[in-house]
Amino acid sequence: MPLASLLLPPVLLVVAALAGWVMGRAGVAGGRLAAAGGAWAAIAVLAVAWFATGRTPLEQSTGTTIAGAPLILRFDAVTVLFWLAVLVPAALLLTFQRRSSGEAGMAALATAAALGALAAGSLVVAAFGLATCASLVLVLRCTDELGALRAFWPALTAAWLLLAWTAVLLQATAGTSAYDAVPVTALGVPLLVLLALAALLGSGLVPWRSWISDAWDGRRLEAGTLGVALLVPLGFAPLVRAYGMGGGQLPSALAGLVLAALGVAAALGAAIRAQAAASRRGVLAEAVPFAGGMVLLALGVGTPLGMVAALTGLAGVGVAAGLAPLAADRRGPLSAVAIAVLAGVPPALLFGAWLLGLQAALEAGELAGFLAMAAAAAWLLALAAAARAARLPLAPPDAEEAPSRAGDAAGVAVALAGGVGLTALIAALSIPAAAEVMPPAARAVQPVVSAAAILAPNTLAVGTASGGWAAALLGGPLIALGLAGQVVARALARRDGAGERPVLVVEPAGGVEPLFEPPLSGLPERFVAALRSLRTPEQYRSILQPAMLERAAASGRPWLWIAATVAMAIAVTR
Amino acid sequence: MITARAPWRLPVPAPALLGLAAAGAATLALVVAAPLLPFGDGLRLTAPGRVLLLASAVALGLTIVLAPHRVPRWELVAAGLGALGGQALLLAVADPLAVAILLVLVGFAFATRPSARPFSARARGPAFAAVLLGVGWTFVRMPGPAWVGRAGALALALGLVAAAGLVPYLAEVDPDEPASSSYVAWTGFFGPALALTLPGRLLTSMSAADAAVFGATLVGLGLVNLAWGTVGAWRTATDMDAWRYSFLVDWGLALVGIGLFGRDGFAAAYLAFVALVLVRLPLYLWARPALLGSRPARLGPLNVLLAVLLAGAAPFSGFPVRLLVLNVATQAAWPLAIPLVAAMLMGITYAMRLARTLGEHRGLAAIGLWVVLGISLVLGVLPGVLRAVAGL
Amino acid sequence: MTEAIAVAGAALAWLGVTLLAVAEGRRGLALGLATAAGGLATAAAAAGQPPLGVTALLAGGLAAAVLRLRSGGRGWNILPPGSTPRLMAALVAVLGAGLVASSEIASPAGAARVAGLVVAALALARILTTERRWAALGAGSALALGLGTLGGATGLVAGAAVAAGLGAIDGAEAAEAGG
Repeated sequence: MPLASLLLPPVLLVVAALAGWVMGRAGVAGGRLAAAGGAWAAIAVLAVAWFATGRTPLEQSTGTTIAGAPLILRFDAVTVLFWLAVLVPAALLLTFQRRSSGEAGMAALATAAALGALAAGSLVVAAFGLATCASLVLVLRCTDELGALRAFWPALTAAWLLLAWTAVLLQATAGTSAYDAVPVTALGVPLLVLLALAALLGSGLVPWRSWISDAWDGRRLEAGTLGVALLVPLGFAPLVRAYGMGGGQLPSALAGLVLAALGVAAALGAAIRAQAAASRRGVLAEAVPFAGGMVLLALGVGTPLGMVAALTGLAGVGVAAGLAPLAADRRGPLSAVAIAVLAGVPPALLFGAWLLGLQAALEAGELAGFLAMAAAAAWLLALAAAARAARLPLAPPDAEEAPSRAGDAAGVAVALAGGVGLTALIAALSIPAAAEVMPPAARAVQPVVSAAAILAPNTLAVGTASGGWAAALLGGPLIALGLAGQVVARALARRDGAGERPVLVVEPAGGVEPLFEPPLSGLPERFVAALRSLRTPEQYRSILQPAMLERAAASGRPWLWIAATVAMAIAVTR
Repeated sequence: MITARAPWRLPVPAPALLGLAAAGAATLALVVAAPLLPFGDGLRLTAPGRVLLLASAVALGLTIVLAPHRVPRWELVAAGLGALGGQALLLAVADPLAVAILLVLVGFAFATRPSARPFSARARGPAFAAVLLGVGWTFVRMPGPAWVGRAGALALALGLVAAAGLVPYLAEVDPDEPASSSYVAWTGFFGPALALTLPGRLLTSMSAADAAVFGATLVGLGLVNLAWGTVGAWRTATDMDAWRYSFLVDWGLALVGIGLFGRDGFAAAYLAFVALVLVRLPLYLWARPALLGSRPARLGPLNVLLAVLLAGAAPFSGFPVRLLVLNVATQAAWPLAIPLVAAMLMGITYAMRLARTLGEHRGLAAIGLWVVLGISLVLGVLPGVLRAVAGL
Repeated sequence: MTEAIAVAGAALAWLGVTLLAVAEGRRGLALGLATAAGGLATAAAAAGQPPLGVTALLAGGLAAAVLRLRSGGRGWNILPPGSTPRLMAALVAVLGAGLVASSEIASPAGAARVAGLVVAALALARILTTERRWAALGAGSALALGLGTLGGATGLVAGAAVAAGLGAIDGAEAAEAGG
């Protein structure tokens, strides 16, 4: 598989960005079309480049450097899955959200950067890519509102710094940070802690409100929600690759359980915030954190089924990131279906992925089983939040609503198609990707990840040790029934009313009381406010005055220079 | 318009400027042509020095042509040529003691630039640095007890820091003073020249124990300047001071890189200095109108991009510097990386503040900003090329 | 014999730079600079430095001294009111040099080195404490001469050149206009 065809998707997006910029300068409003076209074309090229050419993994050391580090690119099933998890929501958002040509061009560029980061073959290049993508998203967001500075920028900066530090530590201990070249024992628990921290911050998967939810606070949703679609998968990528670096497992089973617990905590936190949200936007804002938490649970379990569930869930995260913004600011049956899909109602992709994740956790053992039960409780809470959302106002009063019926429909269609075709998705993408990061041990004949252990022989149903279910055979008829019902309802409505009857829409007054108030509500803000309020105690202020010290040091007084020099000389020569 | 302000000082006589330009150009030509001259043995431009000299020339050209100025451009050309000549001399002179002596000349000549601050006050920093370097060089080569060598190594490290005007030798700042007459010339122009070439020449004559003191002092002062610069740029009351402290951050990283020795450490310092000269210094000049209150500060898409650049994030020039410094620090002692990572993270606290002062520019000034951005992008993505040219 | 000459040169250099430090008139400063140059050249010659370098050092110092007569305070004005701290500093410097570097002074090279260090230190002290341009320039020339003495031929020539170069800079206080 030539390298050129692998680079084509990001190149298409860059070309689209340039075209959009040129059109914007020329006053032609075609930038959005160019960006959307570039994204869909990238998906098509990706599908052809991967599936039509034998699905052969490729690792290419280009011989050049980027930011001083060897530029190693890796294109395998994991990369393909992540690229799709980014490209599908990006294509949806670029197509159906309103943007100026300049914004569309920048968005396309950011998407290209995300693809580049996901194709990294080493942690150093991944850190560079993450930082670049985060920088471009920051530019996109700050043109809308400065709220991006509050949580987004510090979190993403910490993420790429920690990733870079992990890469540097790996280079110091193992001589390289290339995924395929790192010795199996090099990634110890301390390095995994740093890597996991980077992943959690980059993906916004913390029990309290993170930058992902903050992305929904602005008047406009375009910039923030695209950033979520691009960066959350980017945050997960190094954690998935960590399995590959460790020969198919994390350095410690306990570490995996901790990760799984953190995932459940993140999902629980998202569900609690969703059920207490004051508007539909608030509920939808928690869709991606919840989905991400479920992915982290499956990832931490550490079994082949868990990895497959996690990777399938990542595709679900992409769907959630694309669908949630498009379903915002609308009412109606389609929007209700969208919210239900995002809450994990069958037969959508999210339902299938989360169910698989719970099964993996249950099969993994006692502790993981408890975590599975906690995750199930969180899921129930998310469903309650979705039901409550029907009676909430669409958005806060100052929000700029931008409903998109077509986008809503497209997103729902993708989610449902993913659910019905779940087994095909697992067979074609998730299992090969899991096999990449969970290779068989030396001289082992049997692969660690086998389709037989996950899918029924006819591959139309999931068949695991804890039970099986047929996604296509159950979901397909359900969707068909739903569509038929919708068609009949429309036909009846048209027959009953010769003309259009005005529909009175009554906005719910005051919303609906939540089940309970989030216990961690406002904790980060209170913590930051407490830090800001720290002052030198009154009785010491005359002694410790940093401003005076600064003035003295910056005044250029020679006596200070001499005193500092003499002091250091005494210290050195003693 | 910024250049239409009332004259703030008496005009500089044309013959003086011509003389300065001629001297600078002649010195530059002498240094560049030294390998071909029979008496050119004392002048040896290292490969990194050549790159820095070229970068300085590009930065001067860029800022003279495109940046907003209060000082007439022809005066800037003359001063720029003079400064370039001085920098070339500091880069090329092989004998460290001669460098210290020449530092006196460069320092006093620079102090003759028009300014509201007294001449003597502006000459103090270079004089102090020259004495530290001279005394230090003498002590490390002098036979005697061990403390003499250690004191000499300390003095050499302190001399580098004093020449650049870093903590604890911060120079007095007059906010109204043009950049071509201020501390920025030392921190952002002459200082990098000294720090880039002198350590290599000094270390060859030091014992291992003295070299350890030299390195430890640089690392310690590097961390101090990194911390001072980071916290200062974030918390200081004025944007002018914030810019000044942002220079300290770059210097802090460079000093840590030099002090830890090793190829990657020197490479980090080299890249940091090239970026300081080609990126941060020009950006400071573009920020001057807003700092002086003649142009409003604002935050547009370009400003946000510049904030990312100033915070040291990819894909700009700060990223490879940070990566290399983390690399050498981790290899030397991994806990050293903790304060470095913390300081790098805190870079975002003041980056937006600095970017806001870059305001909005039009015409040539806007083009200049984009050019600087492009240069930083190239430095960030392709530092390997720069390293290869410098043999690092 | 050479040791005695070197010590004498060092003493003369100290005397010169002390005179430079306590003089508030151009003639006093010029005399101090010339004396310091002479002392340093003597010490350097006794220490076996190349004759060309020594000659250059002396010439540079004398040139700087002559050029300093163009501007500055009128007349000699040696030891005016307020110069006591500078005088005390010079005495402390010589005492300190005697205490710390007594073994160094025993050899001609050591004596020359001590002379250069003392001159450099006192010249620096003058630069750090004066507000006058011409005084700073004079001290700068002395600083260059002192540092030059610490090196070989290159240092001597460089010190001489810089000292003379600084002498060429006008010492009149520039009229700084406000904005």
